[in-house]
Amino acid sequence: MRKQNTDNSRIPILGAYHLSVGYTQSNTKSEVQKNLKLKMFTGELVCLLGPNGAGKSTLLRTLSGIQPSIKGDIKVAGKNLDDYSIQELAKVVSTVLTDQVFVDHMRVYDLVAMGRYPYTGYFGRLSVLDHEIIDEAIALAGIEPLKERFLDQLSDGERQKVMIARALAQETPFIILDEPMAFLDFPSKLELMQILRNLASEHNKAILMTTHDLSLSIQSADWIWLIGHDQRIRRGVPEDLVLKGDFADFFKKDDISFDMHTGEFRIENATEKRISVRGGGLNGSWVRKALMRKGYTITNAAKGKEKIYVANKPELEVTVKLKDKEVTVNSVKDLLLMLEKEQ
Amino acid sequence: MKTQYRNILLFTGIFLAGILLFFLNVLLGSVSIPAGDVFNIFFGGDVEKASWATIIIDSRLPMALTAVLAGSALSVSGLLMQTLFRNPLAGPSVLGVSSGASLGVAMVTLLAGGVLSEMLLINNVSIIIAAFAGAGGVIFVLLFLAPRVGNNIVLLIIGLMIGYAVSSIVNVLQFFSSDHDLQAYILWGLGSFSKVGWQNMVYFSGIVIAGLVAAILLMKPLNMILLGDNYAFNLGLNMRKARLLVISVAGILAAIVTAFCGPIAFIGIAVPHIVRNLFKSNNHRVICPAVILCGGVFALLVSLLSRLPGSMGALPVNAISSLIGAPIVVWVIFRNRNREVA
Repeated sequence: MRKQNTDNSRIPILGAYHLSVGYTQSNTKSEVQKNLKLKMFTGELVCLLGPNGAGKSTLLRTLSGIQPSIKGDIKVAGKNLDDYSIQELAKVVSTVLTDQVFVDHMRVYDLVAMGRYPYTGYFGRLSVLDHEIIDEAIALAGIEPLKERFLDQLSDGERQKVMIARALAQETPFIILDEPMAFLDFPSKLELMQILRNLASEHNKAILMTTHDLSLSIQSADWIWLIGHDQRIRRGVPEDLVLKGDFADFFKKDDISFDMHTGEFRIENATEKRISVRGGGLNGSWVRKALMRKGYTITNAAKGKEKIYVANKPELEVTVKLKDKEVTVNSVKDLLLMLEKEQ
Repeated sequence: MKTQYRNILLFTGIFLAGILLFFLNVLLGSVSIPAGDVFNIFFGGDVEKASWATIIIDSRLPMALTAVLAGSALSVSGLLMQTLFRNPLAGPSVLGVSSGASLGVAMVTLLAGGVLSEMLLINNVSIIIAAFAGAGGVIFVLLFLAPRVGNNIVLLIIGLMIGYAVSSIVNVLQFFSSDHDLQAYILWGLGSFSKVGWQNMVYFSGIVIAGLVAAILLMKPLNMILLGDNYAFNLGLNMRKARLLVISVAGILAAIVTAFCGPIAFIGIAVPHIVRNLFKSNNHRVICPAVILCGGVFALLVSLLSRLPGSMGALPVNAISSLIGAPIVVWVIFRNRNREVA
């Protein structure tokens, strides 16, 4: 942490060329991904996205040295991955994996302290400096109140942060995380992403993570790598991928569409029902969302010709034109009920 | 730090309890010898009967010493296996090491017994050698398989299967053997701390102490193993090498004790649990030394209780260790389960 603090220059941390990853079982090689070209610098947060089974975890395991690559070169911090000894590698790459760590009677502090093992002597005795680094890692991960707690008293989100603190205590320039946000509730996801973003920007770490959370990745990542079955990897700045239509293309499915405006996927309830809505603002956009969920295709209409008018006021006020009269309602629930009754 | 203070207090308390139990072990037995005379035997003084000195020096003292070493060895062996397999029910008997020893002894007493006992060749030494050979054979098989199977659970299952297979072979042997040979085998199976004596103490204590020192040297890798293979690797541990080392040390410790004392159940499983609960830690830098200490003290307690009948003789150690150990294991498992629910 302190090392990288002073020097914020970008150093290439990962380079992979013609890389094939997969499994070798009794001499038959099954390549999950082939011919990958990857590049990463310190200070960057990269989100690796792709459907289940596309080989995201396999790629991460290969890059962190847990399993061998099938073909190609991997350079980590300027040196071939194969040329590292296990002990040397522990000082360059740290991982947060999906492996569950359930150890009875282990305190959070002791677990984070294990991050110092690559640096300690034969008996794993911690120096004063080690304790300082552990405290710093605990502070960065925001888990000071949990320090003295036992591991089995933590929630999933708290445990995930503890594992991140452990990786931080390892003081590696490169951190690899496999689905760190799985099983977390939404606020915890945001908090975790913020921590990771901060580690990349402020502490010049190179962070590579897999996730299924598209909108959070678009908001936070410097780069997004998209991998899929039988498709070339696509790398780019999130906004470029959105605008070039890569996301829409990549996760294409019949009843799901990618909304370029919000950066979110939407379930498409394609029907013939069309409805015209006028009026904008926050209220307008939520009314449109509700109508789309109910299967309406939203159209625009000239002033006075619209079916539904959302007043531009702080409180919700929706005017619906029915056959013979106009009705004003103050909740989305009433609006939907009204439309249902009309049919 | 508060925990450090607490640990030192616990260590001191258990150590003092151990000293007390050690003296009680020397003091009490089937022949009642007054405490004053026991004191005189050690510190030079008049003793009422000369035979008392022989009993104390040549029988009870090596027996208490054997109990301490055997208890420590079995407990550390259990700790190593529980950590390696990340399974609270692992113990020296689980990998089939005890079964291997049993097979060795069964071979000598049951198979060869019919011929050999006539020639009075069946004695303690041949039983010890046979037990060690049997246990060693199983360790050898495990060491051969360990690098070839990917994970610890598979290895654990293989160990269990070896255990079952070997027990079956022993059953078959029992079916074909004479009552006299069966008795010799069953006697070994009851477990005893009295067979080492001074004549074998050098070998016994030498191997046990070497094993305990090796376990102490493995404290850091053991902590890493707790986190699982991938995290251990990420912290710089060569898992294949570490696994071989841990199995060798755990296996040799279990083998040497089983060879000399018979299969002694539950000490190896129970003591690591007691220690983790007592010290509220799973850090091997704390619990490894603690298990060595508590294992010795626990075995002294077992040894003392086995001699409760007084002049009527001694109860089998294996029975007593199971009687105390089994409820403790059940208690620990229940306690941990309740805590998870709460």
